[in-house]
Amino acid sequence: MRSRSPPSTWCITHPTGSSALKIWLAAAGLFLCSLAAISVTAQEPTASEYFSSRLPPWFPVPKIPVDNPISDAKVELGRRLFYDERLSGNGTYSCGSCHQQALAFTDGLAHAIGSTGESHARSTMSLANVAYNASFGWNDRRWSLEAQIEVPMQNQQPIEMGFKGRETEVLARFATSSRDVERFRAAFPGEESPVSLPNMVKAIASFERVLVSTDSPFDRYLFADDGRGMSPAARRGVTLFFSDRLRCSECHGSINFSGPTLFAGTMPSDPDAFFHDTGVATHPAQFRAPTLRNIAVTAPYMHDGSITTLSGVVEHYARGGRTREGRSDRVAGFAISPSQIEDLVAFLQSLTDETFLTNPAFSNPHIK
Amino acid sequence: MSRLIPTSAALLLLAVAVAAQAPAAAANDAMNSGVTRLERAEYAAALKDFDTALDAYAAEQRLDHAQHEYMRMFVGNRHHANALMKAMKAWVLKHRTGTAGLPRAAFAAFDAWVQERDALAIATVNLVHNSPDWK
Repeated sequence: MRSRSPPSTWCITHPTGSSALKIWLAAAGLFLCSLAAISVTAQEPTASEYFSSRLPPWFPVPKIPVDNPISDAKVELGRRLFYDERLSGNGTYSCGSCHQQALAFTDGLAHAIGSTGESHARSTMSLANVAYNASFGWNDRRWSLEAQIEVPMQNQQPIEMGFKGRETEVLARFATSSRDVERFRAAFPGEESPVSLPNMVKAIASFERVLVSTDSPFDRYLFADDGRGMSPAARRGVTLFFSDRLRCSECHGSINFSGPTLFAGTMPSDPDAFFHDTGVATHPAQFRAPTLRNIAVTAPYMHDGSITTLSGVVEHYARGGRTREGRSDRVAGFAISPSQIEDLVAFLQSLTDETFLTNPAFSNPHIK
Repeated sequence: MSRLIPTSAALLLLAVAVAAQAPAAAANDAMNSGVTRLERAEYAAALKDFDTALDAYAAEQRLDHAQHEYMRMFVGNRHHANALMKAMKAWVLKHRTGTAGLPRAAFAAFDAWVQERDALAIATVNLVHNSPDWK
């Protein structure tokens, strides 16, 4: 009678001799690899970890893309790049040239002007709370901040940053500076050649993600029961803004008073429905509703900067827009008295976050 | 014997302090019980607990605690806040003729606060972690 050999799994569950040593060595190697993986990923906090101490409890955590985790080093590099004129082709312009902190990262112009003096057809959009946007640009089908950042860098009609065709030259300005290389290495640890255009984009995107505005008088009134910054007119304006009659909050809704927002755990249901014709342009044209946070400092208004005052914007919507063809059925017009316009404007002014507009963490580090 | 007197006095003071805290603790317990019942979907029982808590807070002239609890819920859980608001509105209605033992001005201030916060909550129902559909 032949003796029965143990089952094949026996060697795994009951290792002996050299096979035991191999198994233990394999296990030790796996353990050490796990430790190495943990030690690398531990440097990059999750979105919740990064923002937990930076956001009030009533504000959601913004979504951070998996391929661009956030870190202090990356944010600081992004801030320096954001305000660095070396980032433009001719060395005269930075992102901060059009996106000025005191104006909630707009520029006060009806049409943005690029590094070579060319005028853009659109008004500069605010970067306040851009981390929460579900789409980027006035009517671009761009769904990530990283994708949008490349637009002003590469755009040639008109030229904005004038990066296109001069990439090697621009990169060399940073790659030949030991201090800049050091900052790139800190932001992108473990990379052999961290000074690259994709990394510049990632760093700037990371900086823009921390540009969060949450401390307006209305925020404090609504979420902290502190009404000291809310005038009686502003309080009446709250009712008007959220009324079914005016329907302001239908387009300028959610925590950001804007079109559809995106934050941790949510996805847009219908990306093509993000854009709406507000009866401004002479031909049908659909645009994203920008945030109304800090709107009092971002004049002039609309995609073409054609309306210079907030009361003018209210009157535009009260009339049902300038053009009817293609106009959204939400822009149907409404009755409103002059005093009610003042109340509504007072409410919009209560969305101004002075802390955001003056926060040194968002300011130009190249100015001494 | 002489050593027992200071000890007895201290114990008496402690008992008085504990007794003085008892109604506030009872109010907090009722409030916490209300929240627990909400989490168990025992809505009607939760409203009764909130009403009990409000009576206790009013007896202590500490309705500010109820306001604080409401704001905490408003930020953390609108559903809970809405339930407490419903209880507060009912409580104010119940006591409008008598002011619940509070000074008239204090009751009127709380009444006004409830009305204002209720209107705010209704107006800003979507101003939370939601994204409006764009049609």
